[in-house]
Amino acid sequence: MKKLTKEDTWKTDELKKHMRGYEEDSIKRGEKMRRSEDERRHRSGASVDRRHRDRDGEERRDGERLKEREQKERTKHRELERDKDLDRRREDSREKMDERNERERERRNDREKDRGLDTDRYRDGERGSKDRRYDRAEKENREKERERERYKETMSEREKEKERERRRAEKERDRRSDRDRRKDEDRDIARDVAKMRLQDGEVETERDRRERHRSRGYVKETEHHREGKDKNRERDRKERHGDREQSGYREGREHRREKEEEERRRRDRDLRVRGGGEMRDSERERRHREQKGSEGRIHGDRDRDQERERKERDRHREKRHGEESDRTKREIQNTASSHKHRDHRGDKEVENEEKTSGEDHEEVDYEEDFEDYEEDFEDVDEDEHGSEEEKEEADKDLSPEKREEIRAIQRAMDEENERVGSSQSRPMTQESLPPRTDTQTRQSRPQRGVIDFVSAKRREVNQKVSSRQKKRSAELLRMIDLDFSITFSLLDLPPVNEYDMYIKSFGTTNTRQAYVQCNEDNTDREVQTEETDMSDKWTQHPAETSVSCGGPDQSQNAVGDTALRTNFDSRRLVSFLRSATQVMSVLLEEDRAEKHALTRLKSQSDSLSFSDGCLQLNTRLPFLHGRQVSHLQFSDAQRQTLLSVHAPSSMSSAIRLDTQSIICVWNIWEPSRPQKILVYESEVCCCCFSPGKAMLVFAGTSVGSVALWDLREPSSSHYSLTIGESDWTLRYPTFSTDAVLSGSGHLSAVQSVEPVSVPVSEGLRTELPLLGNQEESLGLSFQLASLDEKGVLNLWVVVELPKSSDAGSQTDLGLRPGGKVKLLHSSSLQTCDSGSSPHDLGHPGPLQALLLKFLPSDSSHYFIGTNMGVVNHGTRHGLKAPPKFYCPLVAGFRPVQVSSLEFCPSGQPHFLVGCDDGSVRLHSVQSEQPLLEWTGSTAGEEVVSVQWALTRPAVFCVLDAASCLHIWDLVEDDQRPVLTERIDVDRVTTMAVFGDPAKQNTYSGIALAKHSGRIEIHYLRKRFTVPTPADSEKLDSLIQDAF
Amino acid sequence: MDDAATTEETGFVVDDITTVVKEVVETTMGNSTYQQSRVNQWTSSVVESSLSQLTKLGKSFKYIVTCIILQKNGAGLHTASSCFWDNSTDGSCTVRWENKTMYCIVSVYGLAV
Repeated sequence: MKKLTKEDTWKTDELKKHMRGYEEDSIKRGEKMRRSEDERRHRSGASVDRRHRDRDGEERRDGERLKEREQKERTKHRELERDKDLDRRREDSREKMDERNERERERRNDREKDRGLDTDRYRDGERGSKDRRYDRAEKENREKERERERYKETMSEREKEKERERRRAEKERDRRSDRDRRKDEDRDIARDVAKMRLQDGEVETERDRRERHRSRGYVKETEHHREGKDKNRERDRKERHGDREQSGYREGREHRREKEEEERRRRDRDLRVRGGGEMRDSERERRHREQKGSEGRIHGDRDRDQERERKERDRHREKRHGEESDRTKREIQNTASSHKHRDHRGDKEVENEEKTSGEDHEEVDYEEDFEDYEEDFEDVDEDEHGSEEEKEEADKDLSPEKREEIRAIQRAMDEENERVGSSQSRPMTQESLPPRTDTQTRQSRPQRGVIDFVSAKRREVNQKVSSRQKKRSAELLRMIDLDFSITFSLLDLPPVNEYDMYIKSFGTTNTRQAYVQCNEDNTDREVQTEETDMSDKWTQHPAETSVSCGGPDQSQNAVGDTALRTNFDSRRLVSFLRSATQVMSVLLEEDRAEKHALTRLKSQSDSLSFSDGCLQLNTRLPFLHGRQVSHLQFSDAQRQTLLSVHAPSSMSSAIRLDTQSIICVWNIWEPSRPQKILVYESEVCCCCFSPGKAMLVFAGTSVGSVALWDLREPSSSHYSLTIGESDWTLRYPTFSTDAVLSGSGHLSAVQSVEPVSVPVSEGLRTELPLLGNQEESLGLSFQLASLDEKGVLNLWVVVELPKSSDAGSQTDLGLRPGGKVKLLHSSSLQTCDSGSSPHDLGHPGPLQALLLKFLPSDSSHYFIGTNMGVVNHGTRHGLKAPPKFYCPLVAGFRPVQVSSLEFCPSGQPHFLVGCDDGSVRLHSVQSEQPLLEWTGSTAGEEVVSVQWALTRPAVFCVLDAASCLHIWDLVEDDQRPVLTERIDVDRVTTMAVFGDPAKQNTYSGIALAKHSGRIEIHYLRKRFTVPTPADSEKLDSLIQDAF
Repeated sequence: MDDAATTEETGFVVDDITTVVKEVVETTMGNSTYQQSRVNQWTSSVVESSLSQLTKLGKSFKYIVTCIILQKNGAGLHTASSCFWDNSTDGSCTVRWENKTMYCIVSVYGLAV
């Protein structure tokens, strides 16, 4: 804006100079110039109609100027004034043609600032229309020349109308200037240019400014409401309608603009409308004109036009009387105004007039500049204030009455203004300001106007919008809550990696991926698992040593140990093999013996009536040759195990064992050879097995010692004798009481050895719970009783040492090195000492003890067979038992040796006694007297042995010295034996019965030792072995008979 | 002057918003190179902090903020948007930011309450 102002200022200066010059010249050159002015006006693009009319007027004026001047002073005056104006304007316009270009440019710049590109279009359009208009103007000019001729004819008639029109135009101009003045009053800011305005060219300057301002405003308007083209078209059309209409129309437009821009003006108008009662009378005329003029005007415009026109016409009518003089005078005034106003600067009225003249110029200029609308704008004010001006003019020129009228109107107008002013404080105060200030404001007005028009509207709109927006948002925000919405991803398209891209493009073609590799074996393979650990282990069951398993590492570490162990193991292997071979040989020999026995059975079945079969133990061994079997003994636990005692041989032989007794341990299932061979230095009188498992053999010797063999000892630790092709192991006693325990030992030959408290059968066990039960479970913890001829009963405790010592023992001298079992002397009893009772009975001498038996059911009771035919009964602990003696039926002592004493194996308390007088007695333990006594059964022959059959309680065998075997069956016959067998060939020296009372199988039999040294084993016939219920009944009945 | 002031008070001033958004984007991504794994984080961070900064301006607007992050590898991107709104009050603004490895395009739509 400032730039513009400066330029303006500068131009104004120039313009002023020019103006001054032209103004001075203008009067002289008036006529000459008028033509060109006309032309210019045509050229300037005035619309056809308007130009036509104006030109009509002008032409008329031009052509008939002299005449008219004469005829009508007023007209001439006006013409003159107009000419002058025109001159001035021409000068101006020439200059302005240049200046305008400049201004145009500047304006354009401004516009560009505001509007941007639109301006160019607009400008182009403007230019285009301008050119067009110029062309048109030329043509029309020519036409108008012709028209002018015509015009002259109808001049007189038209003259009046034109006059009127002109008058009105003038009025409008006045009004315009008046309005301008008011507008000026509105301005707050005094411009630098203000001073310039006081000078000559100020009119131009002001006008220029106004022009610019208007043009801008116009531009703005058109921009807002219409396109440039529309505007031009419209304007053309409007211009064609003629001045009046145009002005009316413009007024309408102006009005609309006003409404938008300035309230004050609108109010003024409103007031005018309201107070338009005075103008009613012109209503008709207005309508009339309207019909004439308006073609397609919009209603609002028309209304406004009507109002305005009405007012104007009112005024016209009012002033019509003094119109002529008034106008003339005013024109004259106007002509002089330029000079006048210089003299009266502060005078408002003058300025108004001056402006009016300026407005005239402007009008032309606008037409040239196509800023027509601004005229309309001015017109409005003229509407308002025309009356004032007219009044003022009238004051000067018209008659007093007229003046009165005018004043009245002026007053009314003032009142209106006052009202308007009161409604708006600002304009009012400004109006009240001194003229000086007024001037200044007015000066700056156009410039200010530039800003106002451009920005005011925008500002207002913006303010309105923003305030509305503020209000709305304030209200709305109170009610609603804005929130940050959850951010969401509209699209996530990750980049494609190279391989996928490649595959994408690759996949579109008709190809396929494949691979090939030669040397397929060379493919590498990775294995995640670790390599398996491997090691060698061995194991064995049963464990030979403490080590039952091991690995290569262990064997490497303990090579020496294994070597040692090998030796040890070999020994264990030998023992294992021995037992194993024993089992095997037993099995084999059983087979053989059975076959052999079958053949032998046939041969000998005739000889032995009781025998169901027989087998022979192979006693034809070199070291047994010539020895008589003195004793046979079966084990109570292992019924197939047989002890045979071979007495020292009388014949000398190559073998040096002659003086020694030999005890053979046989398994009757293995008759080919004895399992063990036990050797003792002296004659063995008696022997027995350990209770339970037959692993110990005890023997009593003639020298009064008790010997013990441990059959479990390995053969390697014994003396081995090789006779012929076979090796024989000769076992010497593990323990012997010879001379070692002389103090506590036997001093005479041991007649009998018996294990103590060995439960033989289940029946006994249940009947009498014995200590032996526990001892048996403990293995070797049992007692041994030995009885010598003197009747001394020694009790020994069999002790097994936990550990054998190959080096022998210092304390246990009887113990063989490496032996583990020994006898500890427990107690000693004198059983057959010179008791009172035998003396009482007239006993001839001390009793000789021959046999020892313990009660199977109670081992504390011992029974001792004596040489006086009685059996002593006593207890180990000195307690007295009721029958002290068991005597034969014939009372008194007789020198009869008890050769045999046997308890019933079935557990019943019966025992058989055989005597060397040939009598056999059956005793019950409860009775002194025998239950039965058979004296003549053996025909006086000495009874060697009496044996119960183990499976039948009522059957027993008796062997006499005549080698007769008597078999008794008490059930069948209790007086004489049911069967007597005499074996003449090779007499039977001793016998033993075997069998299992618990099993009662057919393997019950009898072993017979022959004089020749052979041992035969005969199986008893079934009649003697199959048990019957009558057996025990018979015995029970015998007992009952006895009592 | 006056209208500028009023516009500044209530209007959608593109310059201010551009400044805000550019600052946010710069602080968020700065000189980082394109990493697909971080793009999600970037976009959400840009969008959220832009929004919070915009609301701090204290204008009565509803805002819509969108963010596009595009790796700079020569690929083309075309987007368009269309709004049905009051032109005198509402406005939009698009900020295009780039560094060596990626583009970030942030669009802000302000809708007067």
